[in-house]
Amino acid sequence: MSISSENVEKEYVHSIYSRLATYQQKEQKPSSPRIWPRVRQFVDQQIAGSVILDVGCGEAKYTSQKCHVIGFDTCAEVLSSSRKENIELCLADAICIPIRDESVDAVLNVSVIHHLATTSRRRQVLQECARCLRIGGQMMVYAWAFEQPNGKFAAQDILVPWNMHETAIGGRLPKVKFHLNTTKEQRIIAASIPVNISDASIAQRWFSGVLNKVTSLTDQLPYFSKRCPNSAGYSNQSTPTGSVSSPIQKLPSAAPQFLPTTNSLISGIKRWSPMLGRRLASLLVPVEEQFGEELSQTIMRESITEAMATLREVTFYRFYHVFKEGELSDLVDSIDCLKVVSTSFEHGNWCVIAEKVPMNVIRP
Amino acid sequence: MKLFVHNFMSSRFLKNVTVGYPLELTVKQFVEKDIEFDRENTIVMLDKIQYEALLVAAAAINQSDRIPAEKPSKWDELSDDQLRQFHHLLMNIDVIDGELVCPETKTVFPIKDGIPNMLKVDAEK
Repeated sequence: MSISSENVEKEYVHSIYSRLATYQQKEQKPSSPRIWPRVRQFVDQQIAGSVILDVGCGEAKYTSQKCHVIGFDTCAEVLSSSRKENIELCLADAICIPIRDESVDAVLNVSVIHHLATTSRRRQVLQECARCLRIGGQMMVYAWAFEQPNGKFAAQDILVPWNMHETAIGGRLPKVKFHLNTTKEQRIIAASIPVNISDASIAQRWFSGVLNKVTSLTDQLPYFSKRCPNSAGYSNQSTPTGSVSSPIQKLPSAAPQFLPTTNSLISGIKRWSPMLGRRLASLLVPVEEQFGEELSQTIMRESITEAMATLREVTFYRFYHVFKEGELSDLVDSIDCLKVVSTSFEHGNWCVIAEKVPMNVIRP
Repeated sequence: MKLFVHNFMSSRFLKNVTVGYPLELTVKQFVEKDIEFDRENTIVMLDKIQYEALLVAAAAINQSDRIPAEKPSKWDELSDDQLRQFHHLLMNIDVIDGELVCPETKTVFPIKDGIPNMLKVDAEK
C-alpha cells in the first residue's frame, strides 16, 4: 500500500509524537530517556562557549553546562513537558530552520532523519543543517539502521508498532527501549509493516485519490452481491472460488480509529481540500451544522481513543526509513559543503560525523 | 528564550524573504536569571554575535544603556564590568512572553511560556 510522503510524516510522525507526549505528561513520572553514548561524547567534545543546535531535540536529552544548546522540535507537547536548565527550546521544523547562515558551531541531528519519508526531504534537512553550521563546524547525524543485531526488517520504509500494553514496565508508561530488551526488539522488528512512499505531484495524488475511492467502492460490491441472490449467482459464475479477496491491503492508522469514518465522495474531497469540501457540502447542509457535526465526530473519536489508550489496548504506529550500511554517509556526502569525518555503528544505529567545508574547495 | 537566541534567529525560511535578519522583538514579560559570569565564555559568545541584532534585543527590554551604541573593536580589551553587562543581556534575560517579527514580511512568531513558535505552517495560516 502506498502513501504520500507528506501524509506519512503528518500522520505517522508529527501527530503520533504529540499524542505520545500527552500520555507521558499524564503519567507525571520523571522519564529516563536513552542517552546515546556517542552523541553525549560529541556534545562534551565541543569547546566551551560553543553554540550547539539540536534539530528535532524531542525531550531535550542533550544539555550542556559549558556550551549553549538550542533545541528545536515541531512537537509543542514534547517541548512543554521537557522544561530544563542548560537548554533553549524553540518550536521549529527541520525542513526550514529559523537560524541565520553559518552561525552555529555544531549541529545534532539525532533520530530525526529516519522519520522523513523521501530522499529529497532527507537531503533538504541535511542541507538546512549545513547552512546553519559555520565553516569548520561539525554535525552528528544519527539514524536507525536496517541492519539489526536482533532481527530483520522486511523493508527500509516501515511502520513500526508501539504496543502500549506490551511496553508497560512496572506500571509505568515507558518509552520505547528498542535496544534494552531483545525479545521485545525482535517482536517490534517482526511486526513492522513495509510501506511504499509515493512522491507524486498534487495532480497525480488527486487522481490516485479518486482511483482509490473507486476501488474501495468496488471492494464493497461482494457485500451487496451476497444480499442479492441474482447477482450472487452471477458473481459465482464469474469467479469460481466464490469469494473475492481484495488485493488491496489497508494500512493501520497511526492511532487506531474506533469509529468508522464517513466514506462519502464529499468527505473524500474534504480530505483533499477542506475548504472546497465544506463549500460543496454547504449546498446540502448549512455550514454551522457541518462544523457542529465535524466537531462532535472528532470529540467522539478522540475520547474513545483516549479511553482505549488508558486501558493500553492500542497500538500506535510510527514511520521510519531505516538506513542500509553506507547509505547515511553517502547521503551526507552528497551535500556539497559537508565532508564525512567518520561513520560508526552503535546499538542498531548508524552514526555519521561530518564537517562543513568551504564551497569553493574542489572535491576529489 | 534567552536573548542570545534572538541573535541567531532568522526568518529567511519564509517565502520571498532574502535576509530575514535581525528579527524585530517585542517583550511583554521577561525574568532576570543569575547565570554565573565567565569572562572567557562571554568573549567566545560575543565573537559569534551580530552587534546590530544585540542592539535590537537590548532596546526591546529598554536596557540599551547597558552597552555602547557602537561595536567595541576588541572584546578582550573590555573590563570585567563591561563584559558583565553583555553577559547580563545575553544570558540572564529570559523572555517569557512576547513576539518575534520578520523584518521583511512582518510575519509574527509568538513567544509563549518562554518558547518561540517558528513553525512555518502556524505562521502562514
